[in-house]
Amino acid sequence: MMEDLEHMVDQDISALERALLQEGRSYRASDDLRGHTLAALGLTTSVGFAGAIAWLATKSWTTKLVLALSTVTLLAALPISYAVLVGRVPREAPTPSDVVVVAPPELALPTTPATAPADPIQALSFDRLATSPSAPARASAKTSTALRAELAALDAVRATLAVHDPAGALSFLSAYFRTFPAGRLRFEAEVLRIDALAQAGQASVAKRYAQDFLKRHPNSVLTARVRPYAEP
Amino acid sequence: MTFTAACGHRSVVTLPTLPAMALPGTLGKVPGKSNREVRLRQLVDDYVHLVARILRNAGTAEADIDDDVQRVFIALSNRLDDVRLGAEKSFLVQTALNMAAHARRTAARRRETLTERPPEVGDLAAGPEEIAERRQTRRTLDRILGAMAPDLREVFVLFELEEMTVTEIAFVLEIPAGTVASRLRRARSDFRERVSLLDGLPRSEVG
Repeated sequence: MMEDLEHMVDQDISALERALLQEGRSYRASDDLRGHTLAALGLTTSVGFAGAIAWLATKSWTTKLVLALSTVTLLAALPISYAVLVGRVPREAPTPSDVVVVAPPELALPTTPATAPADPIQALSFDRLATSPSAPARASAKTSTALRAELAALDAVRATLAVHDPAGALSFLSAYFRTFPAGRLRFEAEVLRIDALAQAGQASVAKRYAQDFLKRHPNSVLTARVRPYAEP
Repeated sequence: MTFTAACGHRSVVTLPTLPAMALPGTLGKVPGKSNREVRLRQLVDDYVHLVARILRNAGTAEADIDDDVQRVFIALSNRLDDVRLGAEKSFLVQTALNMAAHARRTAARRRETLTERPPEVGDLAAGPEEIAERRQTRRTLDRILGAMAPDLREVFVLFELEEMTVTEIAFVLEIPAGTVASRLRRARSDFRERVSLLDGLPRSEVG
């Protein structure tokens, strides 16, 4: 009976009715939606390996380098990939005291740990790569390409956190904030920084970042992830 | 069997599980964090565009779709352990409908618009050719759906646009199947009447 109800589009309806119904049925949000949603859930946005390779094949060498960095980190779960950029054998994993926190412009914490400019990890800079000779082509890249680069950068952060290397994660984040000062995944990066600081044992710094985040973005979808860090 | 779905800080609804709507992927054999992540990822893959479509057709502004889709999935993530395997779609649909209803109320307050008012022909009539253009079509659909009573709009969107069955809709909305059918008839009549004002077509019986 009721299950036999026929949909209007299968009936004899006017062209306008059909156009309206088809419009409603065919609505599709942006292609970035899946990545954004996974990021909001704190899940990596890993793409299929074959797909990543295919995409890499279309990119400039600098882009390949950045993405190779992320891929190596994801697969090997080691900060050894940093050495690719600085031509040095990686040293031992940095201790929390080595951690360099580069705050975004509007968020300078007074007790930010001392920097260690000689650290090879500091040489990692997406920004430096972006100003390399092949940069002009990338400068005109589509927004979706930039977003994928952001996603890859944050995937590297998550993978590094997953193997309990907060110093490596913070260095990746420093590079992210320098490269994407107005990045579309900036809020997610801020949350990851809080995760990394907490994992590095810098609970009080993480707490201040968390409180600041909640103050600036009280309605963000990410507040649930941040709130535990802000509580006493 | 039911579970409770919390939609952000707002309404709390009780939903039935929906055995007929099994998750396309095979998941959740072993409880644990990694399985949870796999399950969440699979649900995002399977339903992210469905949730976006329901939000959009139920009245969420285009600019808010990304954020509200994320909110729906965060609500699911927060309650994932309470949502039975196979009942995820039901949860997502109901949460999306609640979210869209909230967005519509907020927008109505903000703009002081009377969304329950039938659309003026002058607002909408731009001629069939122009209306056939995609953006105009979308705007027209938004206005027509926005002018429907909420209970009729929900049923219309789920049946006519999402192609859910009457039984599925009855489970999700927790109303008898007969009520779904009667609302659908009224929603169709409402829809066709509004379209006929634009199309110059005679009003017809809706079955």
